[in-house]
Amino acid sequence: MGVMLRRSFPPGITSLSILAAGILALALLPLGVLVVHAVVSDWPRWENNGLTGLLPTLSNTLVLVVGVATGTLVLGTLLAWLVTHFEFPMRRWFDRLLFLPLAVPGFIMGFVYVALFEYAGPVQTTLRSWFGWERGDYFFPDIATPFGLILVLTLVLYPYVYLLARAAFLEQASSTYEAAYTMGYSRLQATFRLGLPLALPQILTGLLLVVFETITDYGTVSYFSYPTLSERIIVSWNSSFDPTTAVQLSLLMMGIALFLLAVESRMRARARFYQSARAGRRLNRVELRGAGRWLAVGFCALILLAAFVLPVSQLVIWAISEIRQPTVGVLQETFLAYTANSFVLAAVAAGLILVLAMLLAYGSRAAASQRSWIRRLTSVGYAVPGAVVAVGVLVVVNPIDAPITDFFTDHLSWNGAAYLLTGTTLALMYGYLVRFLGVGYKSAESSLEQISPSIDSAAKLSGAGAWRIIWRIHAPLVRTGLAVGMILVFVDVMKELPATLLLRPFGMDTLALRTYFLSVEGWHRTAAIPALTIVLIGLLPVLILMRVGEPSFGSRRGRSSRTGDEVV
Amino acid sequence: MEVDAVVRLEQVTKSFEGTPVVHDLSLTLLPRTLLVLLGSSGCGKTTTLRLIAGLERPDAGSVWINGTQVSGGGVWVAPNDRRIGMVFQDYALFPHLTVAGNIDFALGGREKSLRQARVHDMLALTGLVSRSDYYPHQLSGGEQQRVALARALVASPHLVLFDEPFSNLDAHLRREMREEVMQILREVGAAAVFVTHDQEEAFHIADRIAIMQAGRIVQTGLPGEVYRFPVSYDVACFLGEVNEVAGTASGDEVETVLGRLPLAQPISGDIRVLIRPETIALNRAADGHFTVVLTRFFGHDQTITVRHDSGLRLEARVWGHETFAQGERVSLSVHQPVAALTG
Repeated sequence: MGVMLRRSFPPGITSLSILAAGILALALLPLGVLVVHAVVSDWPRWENNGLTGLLPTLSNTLVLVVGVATGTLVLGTLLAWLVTHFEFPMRRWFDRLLFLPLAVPGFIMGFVYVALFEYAGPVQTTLRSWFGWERGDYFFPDIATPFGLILVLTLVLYPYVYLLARAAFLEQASSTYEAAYTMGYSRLQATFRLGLPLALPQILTGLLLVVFETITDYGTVSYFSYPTLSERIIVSWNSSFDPTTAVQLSLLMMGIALFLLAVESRMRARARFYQSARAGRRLNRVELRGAGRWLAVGFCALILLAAFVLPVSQLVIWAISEIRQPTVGVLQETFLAYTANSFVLAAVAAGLILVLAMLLAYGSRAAASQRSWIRRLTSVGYAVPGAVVAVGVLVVVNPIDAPITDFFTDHLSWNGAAYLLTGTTLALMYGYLVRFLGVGYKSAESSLEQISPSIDSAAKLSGAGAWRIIWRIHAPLVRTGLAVGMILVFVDVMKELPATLLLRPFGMDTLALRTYFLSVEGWHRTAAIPALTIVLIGLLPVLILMRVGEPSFGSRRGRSSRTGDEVV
Repeated sequence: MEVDAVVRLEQVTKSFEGTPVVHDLSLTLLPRTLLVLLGSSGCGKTTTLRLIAGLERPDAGSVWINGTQVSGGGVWVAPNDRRIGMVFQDYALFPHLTVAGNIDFALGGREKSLRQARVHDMLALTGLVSRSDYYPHQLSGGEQQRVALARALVASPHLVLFDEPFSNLDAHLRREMREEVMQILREVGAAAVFVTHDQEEAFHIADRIAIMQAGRIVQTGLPGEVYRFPVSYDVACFLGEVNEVAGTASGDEVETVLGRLPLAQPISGDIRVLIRPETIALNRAADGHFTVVLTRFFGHDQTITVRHDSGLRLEARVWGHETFAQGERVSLSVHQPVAALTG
């Protein structure tokens, strides 16, 4: 590898590019194979079995996506508008704290909400004891409904819209608004006619991220027993033993994902030229007075409470009571074991992915057009549900496994080689690679992009060789970016549910799986401990985001585009 | 009070976070006049412009536009009710609207057929008809500038404000745009306040110039007036190169190392006079009192630094075809009355 880097660096197209192409091919193979498999599969079978059964699933998915998209659009944009256009008490705090719900995975929020608000839950119980009500005496919305599911997903996903809308509003130049004032428009009119349309590409980008998360979600929808396409794939593969349907559904999901990715890249391109006018001074915030002031504070506080403080407090209360008095019959001793599993898996995956992503980034450093293609290709794995990736990996790995197993049993009379790949951490790592290479690549690419090629030239003129350039100049410059990338991948792996579920070695548990299984079985107190662990680790990237979230005056564009990338 | 003033500022003061930016500033702009606010960066000229537009509220003093008080004495008219056209330094074009859309935006609320006609008139006036459906990012810098101008003028304001509008253009385009803006302003008959730090630009376009220093207007007048008779050495230097020479005045003349020079205004006593380099002529003379020490050639002209036998250095600007060698002895003559520095 060292030789390859030395020879092809930096004008190189040769060895490093080939290596990069190999990495790319490896990451795309499962998805490609899946497409082939689906296309040549037994289609009538799908029609008999699936199509009629598919319609409710499709409409379910659509209802969920529309509901969550509407909710997050309104909530995220409204909050972003409040904190960027107005001044009110504690605004600076809300500005950052409203990022926090990003740390809570949907399936954790889901079980906490159901447990809190169901008939037997603390909220309704308290109401009954206060007012002496019995069942049927009062109206209380049922939380375990599609409405409840939409509410839960809206509360965990609105930060995507909030983050991008906020960045968009912050980037807007005050001269845009001032020009409108001189033309006779009031501030509110200017906001509606200029501010919102200008922020729209970024708001829609955030909304697309919400849609991706919603259609790829497995844990939350299955907890709410709400069958969506993504959930159906797992059920078909795992429980109904109907791989054909799973593969065909995966193809459908990939089609949807590719379409949405195309829309997203259009939106990002448009957002870029909307920002092209260099912003002079920033928009000044209007001091809110009277009722509006307290309405703004109350609204921000309510959302923060509902989306973060309430679920996390409940988890803490459960965890404390579980530690004091462990639930009988549920094994808690294994907590350390599956936590270790999670950490090791996430750390190895993060390291592996960032190394490969860096090689990919170096291989494509010379050509910007190549980079945008790689960015698109690697993001497909992230845009499709984890279940699709898992099915793809299994479809690739199974046929390789069989002959190996046969070879060992037939020729060497050794049975220990059975399923060398399938159901091992190797297949699991492969799954993570396919799914999260895009996340790693974006970090690697954007950190490498900050190093202008003329820096390399300057270093070479002063006599530095390729390794010296990489070690003494590139390494210190990309270090932070790579660390951020690793943290993002680490946390994503830790939260990943469906791919782990399908690809894990038999009996292997992780924090996410344990949380999910325990919560499905109703052991909320016990589930609270791994759930809280996931939330705490999930806070790490959110804290980083909170630090860079403010586009500073000098490096406004650079920083904010990084903010956008970190969300993905 | 003159009712026909387009803009009238009276003792306007503005501070930002305790730092005074505009002090006690008074200013009058007559109809169909282009007034240039000239000053170095940070002198408060942009703030003055924003105070007129209503984008900033003065701490004290009052502002009248077309005889109506818009600010001061408990009165405040918001910028959206002032009906002023403004061209911003960064143009502030709306990137999501076409050229026509940008211009039309400034006509908000008016009848559609009227708007279409006005937009077309402005496109024609600024030579943008073929660019009507383009988006701002598809335009060159000069074209963006024209859109900003068309947008500022479309609603027929009596007053147009320019905030260093040409600072993002290259020198050649800047000269071209100056001509164009002046011509268009004359055609529509609007008064304008134009902020710049470039004295050449100011002289070129101004009907009147107001020179600002540290938040105050230090001198107002016709371009030629302020150039020839600056109120201070600082103003003189800001407007161009200048030699400061001591002398003894007696009425219409002043006795200096250059001999007896005619004075622009009669004065007596020990004074300092300002001599612009281009008013000095050099003659080769073996008995002259000056020695050529340095020549800098600019093409059509050149500057020549000479040293008097007393050690005083002066600069002269002469045509490019005259040749003077270093060390040559010369005599100097001044072919215009010189300005005395008072105060």
